[in-house]
Amino acid sequence: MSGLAWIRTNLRRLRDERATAIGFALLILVTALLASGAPRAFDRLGDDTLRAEFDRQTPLARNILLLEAGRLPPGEQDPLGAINAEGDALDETVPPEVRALITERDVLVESVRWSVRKEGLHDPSTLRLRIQPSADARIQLTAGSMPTGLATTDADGVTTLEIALSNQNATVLGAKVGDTLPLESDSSDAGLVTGAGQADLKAAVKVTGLFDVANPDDPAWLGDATLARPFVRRPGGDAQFLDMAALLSPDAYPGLLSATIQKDASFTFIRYTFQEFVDPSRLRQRDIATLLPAFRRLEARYPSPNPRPPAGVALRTSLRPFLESESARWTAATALLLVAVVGPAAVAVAALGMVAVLAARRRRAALSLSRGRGASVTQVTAASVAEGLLLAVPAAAIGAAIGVEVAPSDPLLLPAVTGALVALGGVALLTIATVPATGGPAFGSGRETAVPRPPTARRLVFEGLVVLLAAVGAVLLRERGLRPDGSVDPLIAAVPALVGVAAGLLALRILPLPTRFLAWLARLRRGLVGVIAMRRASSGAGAPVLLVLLATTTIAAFSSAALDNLDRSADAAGWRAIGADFRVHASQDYLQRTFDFNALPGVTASARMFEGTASVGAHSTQPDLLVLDVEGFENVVKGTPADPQLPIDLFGPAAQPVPVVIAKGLETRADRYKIGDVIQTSVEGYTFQARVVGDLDSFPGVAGTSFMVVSEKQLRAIFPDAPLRPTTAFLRAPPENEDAIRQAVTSVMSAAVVDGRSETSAALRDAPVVRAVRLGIGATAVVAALYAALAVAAALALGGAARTTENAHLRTLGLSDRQAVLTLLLEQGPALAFAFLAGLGLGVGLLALLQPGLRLPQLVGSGVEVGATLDPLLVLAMGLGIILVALIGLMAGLWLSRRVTAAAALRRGFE
Amino acid sequence: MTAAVSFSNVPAAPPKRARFGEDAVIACDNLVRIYKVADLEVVALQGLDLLVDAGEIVAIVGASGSGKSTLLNILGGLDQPSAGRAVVAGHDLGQMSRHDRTLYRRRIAGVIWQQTARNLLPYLNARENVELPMILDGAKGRRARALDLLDRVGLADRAGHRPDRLSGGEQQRVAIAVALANQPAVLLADEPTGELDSSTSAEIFALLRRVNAELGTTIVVVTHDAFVAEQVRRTVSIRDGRTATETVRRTEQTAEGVDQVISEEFAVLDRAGRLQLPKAHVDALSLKDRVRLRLEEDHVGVFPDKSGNGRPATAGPGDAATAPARPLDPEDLGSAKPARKAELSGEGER
Repeated sequence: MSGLAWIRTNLRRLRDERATAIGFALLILVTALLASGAPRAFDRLGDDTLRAEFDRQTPLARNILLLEAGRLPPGEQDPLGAINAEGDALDETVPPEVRALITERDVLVESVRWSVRKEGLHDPSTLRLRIQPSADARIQLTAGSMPTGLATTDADGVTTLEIALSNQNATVLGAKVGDTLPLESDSSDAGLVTGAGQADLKAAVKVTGLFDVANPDDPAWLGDATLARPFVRRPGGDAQFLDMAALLSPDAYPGLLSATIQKDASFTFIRYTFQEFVDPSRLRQRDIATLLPAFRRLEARYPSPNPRPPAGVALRTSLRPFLESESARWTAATALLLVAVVGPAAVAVAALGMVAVLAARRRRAALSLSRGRGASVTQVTAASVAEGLLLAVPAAAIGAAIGVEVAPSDPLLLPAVTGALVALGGVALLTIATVPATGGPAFGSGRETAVPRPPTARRLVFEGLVVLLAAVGAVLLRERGLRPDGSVDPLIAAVPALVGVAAGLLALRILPLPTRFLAWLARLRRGLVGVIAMRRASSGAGAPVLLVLLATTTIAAFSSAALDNLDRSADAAGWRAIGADFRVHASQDYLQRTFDFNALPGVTASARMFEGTASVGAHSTQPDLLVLDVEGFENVVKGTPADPQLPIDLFGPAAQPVPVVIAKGLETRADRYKIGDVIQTSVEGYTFQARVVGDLDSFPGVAGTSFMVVSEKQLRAIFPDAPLRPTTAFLRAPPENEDAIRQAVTSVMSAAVVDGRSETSAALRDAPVVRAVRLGIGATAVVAALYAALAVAAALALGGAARTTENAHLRTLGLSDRQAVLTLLLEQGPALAFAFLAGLGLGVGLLALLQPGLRLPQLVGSGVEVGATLDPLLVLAMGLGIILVALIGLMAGLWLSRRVTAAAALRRGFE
Repeated sequence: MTAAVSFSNVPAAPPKRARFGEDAVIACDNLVRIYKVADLEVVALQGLDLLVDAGEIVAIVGASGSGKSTLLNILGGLDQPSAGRAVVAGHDLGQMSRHDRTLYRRRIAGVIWQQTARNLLPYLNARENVELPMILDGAKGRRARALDLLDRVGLADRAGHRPDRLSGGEQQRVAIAVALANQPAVLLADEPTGELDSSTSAEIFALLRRVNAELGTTIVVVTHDAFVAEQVRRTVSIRDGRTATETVRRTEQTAEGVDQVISEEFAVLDRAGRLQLPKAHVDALSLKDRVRLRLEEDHVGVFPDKSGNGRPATAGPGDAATAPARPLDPEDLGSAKPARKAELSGEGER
């Protein structure tokens, strides 16, 4: 009971120290809120990022398609009953982890390609007959009626089915409602199985209705828009086909079966597509680890449809590579954010520690008196712990509750644990700061003055060890990366913090040198202000402020440099992806040979490129042959990051062998090509000797890493009649002309795609994962800045107030208010400037150190490494921020000190 | 209702040994305290001897820096001696564990400091401040005893006031009550009237004497105040970390039946036979470097050395030329006798 009485008596102090108590509790509350909410917020950020990236994928890539080729019998009641039963059976084979993602299933039944045998068609056209129950809701009938299940077979055994066509397809086929189109099986379709002596199957379709597709990009079409419009298929050479689809009634399934088989046993397979729609809201970063093996099991069970097997079940989905890619990107993002979070966490601990020390200073006299009256260390510790618990536990609980409210967590254990840890940490800091301060010689006598002592040899050895460990850790981190095997190595993850501590220790040891120099300079001048300020600065009282500011500036510099690095990586990736300010690419056809790209709005230079598949060497390696207008390209990319610095040989007159630049990837292939080699090359029937004059990692604007670049002028000199129709054009023009250029190009070449470099870079910069990293880094920097502002302002304010007695003495000697302010400014100036400069260097250095492990370019999908630099404007902003915080703190300190008169300050007992 | 004042809760003293000051409540034997501040060593006490008997009230005076407060901190269990012995109520302060020292501060020694504000916790009222040592000791009947003590110091009606609402004198009275809370064997006061006016000082000292008389508490007061020093029977003067002189006062009746205080100042001869001459005596006879001593039948004469310029003089018959004091040989401690007093100025009337 006496223990409780002692604690209760001790807690009466809180009545007189409301400001300190409230400040401490608020800091605990905010820290608990951040600590409990941050992990869930981080999880949510990761999940949102994953879902945003998922939404950017094509429907074909982001859903699961089970493709079966066969001839399932029609159901007795429901024509598609057996098909649905088959779908259910297939679903059962999908691993439960994957099945949990699926929200609904759509069934699509489709025939093989039928050639349309109609006179007057511009290009050979094919038609697939499709049954898709979900299609009705996605089309608008514009003429006629929807087809029925009616199937008629004539004397020759030819079955006629009713179909509906899109208006666009009907126009291409020259068909209208009521027309009948004769069909013949496409012999190139792998789904055709012919019997002995028979080559083709015959059928016919009658158009009963025309429709418009509401949204050709609707996921229900599985990325196949042939129901809406023709797809140009080029199997090779100059041949091209127009592939289309027509809609059948589900009731026509028995008719479709009978139309696709003949008496001689020739038949076609029917293709059944079971589309399993993935619900993005069910995707979570934390589940990726279990999803990947499940997808691998699924892939092992069902083969890929490329090349499409004639029968059996195949799987089409890009979810596994998508999840793998996202996992890798999020790992890189996590690594970066982990480093970024270390900073504010350190500053938060430092801020809590500073407030605890300041609170301890205020209570030191009272506790020392209690010790003098017979309080034991245990009693003082118990009182301090009780006080800490009283302040910290409710604050941490409220903070954690708000954290859970802001970022709902399931389960609640994590926020409860983090809140408890913050509370215990606060209590520990308060107790550690308080209890030792009450001991020492003659405590309680009022004579316990702190005497600055030089560091002991033991301490210097310890500090040296920390610096050494930090250096070793940094080397390991640089070599191994933050997450070498996909899991966080806590020892390596602690390296940034260790480097920060080492830098802080070094800063504390180095700071006295410039301070002493300044003190020496101050002594050379007349006047008291400089001497007093420098003497005070030399006492080391500014060490906590120095450390907090150093940590904050480091975080700010690191964050700024990292964001700048991401931006420049995105820029570099944009240049690499597009190869110029603009790239015009023929998606289905060739670009018009006669089109004048230089006449486009804002275009100052242009270059054309033919891209075809070449066959080289004895091993028949098939790189992309890039036949480029090198002179034009030189003008397009001159002075830009995309300039590949092509060798001079490509710019000279025609020569044999033809000079060629190869991809470095080719140097590692079977033929092991190297500079100087002469290679026999064939492209579209033209064969020539090429001499390797250079090599490149990649070529701007070209996706692959297997290519050969040759000058169009030099090649055309050898083959004047080679068609070499351009597939790509590179343009140099200001980014603001993008819309005008796009409009001008597509108005002439509808299938041409115009890509802008700045637009691509912006898209990379705005990728969800990059946005998440930007948000995370920004948030951590803001949190660190707020903590630092609070801690520095409090330290400077209370430090200024603590000088009250000293200033009062100086005022009795004639120190003016102005001189008092100036003294305070000069006292703190060197530490602030030192912390700022050291923090900038440390932040950029830390990024440079961690860069290989952070894999920043991966985040923006770029393989281009860019160095760590700082934006001068951000540096200026950071400097101004620190000056502002320091000024606020100093002003608060002056205000506090002015509240006490000199006489009162000189007479003061308890602070 | 007042609680009985007893020493029943004072820790049992260790077995008595026959040694220096065994009958005294406070015994300091060749006490040395050296502080190390940065690279500088400060010898605050250099072989101080002091004996204080139970129930005695002693004033300790001395110039600033003479070691008075250092002595009080050691006696209060707040500091530890570097060498020598300090025994209070049978407790050897140099041999105690940290825990024992905490109990010692709690139960054996009550301390009052000069700064009135430093004696009391500002966030507790007078009663709560008095209760604090009892709370720390787990004593029962705290409130009643606190009110009794406040009543004894004349502040029963101010029990609910916090220190900032008490005058300086009232604060010191509360501090005395706080110091007495656990019935200490000794009360140590460091300049208790240093911040008070003369009339308040007189009140406070009267209170201390009353406590001494009523409770039998041994009191040691460190003071600069001549008035205070004259209020006690024995005043010990410290110089350069050693006891220099003692002034003993006694009251005698004159032939007319009037009480008069007789004050005698003695030089203190330490256990090694060393003697500090008062500065006034040294200055009056221009004594320096060395002096000539003459052993008479009932006293020792001290004469200036007039043999020339401070060089060693030849000792004549019956003379003993003193050399500069040699360092104390540790062996001297074993054979040392209790300090003796050498009368300096004869009897005087105060």
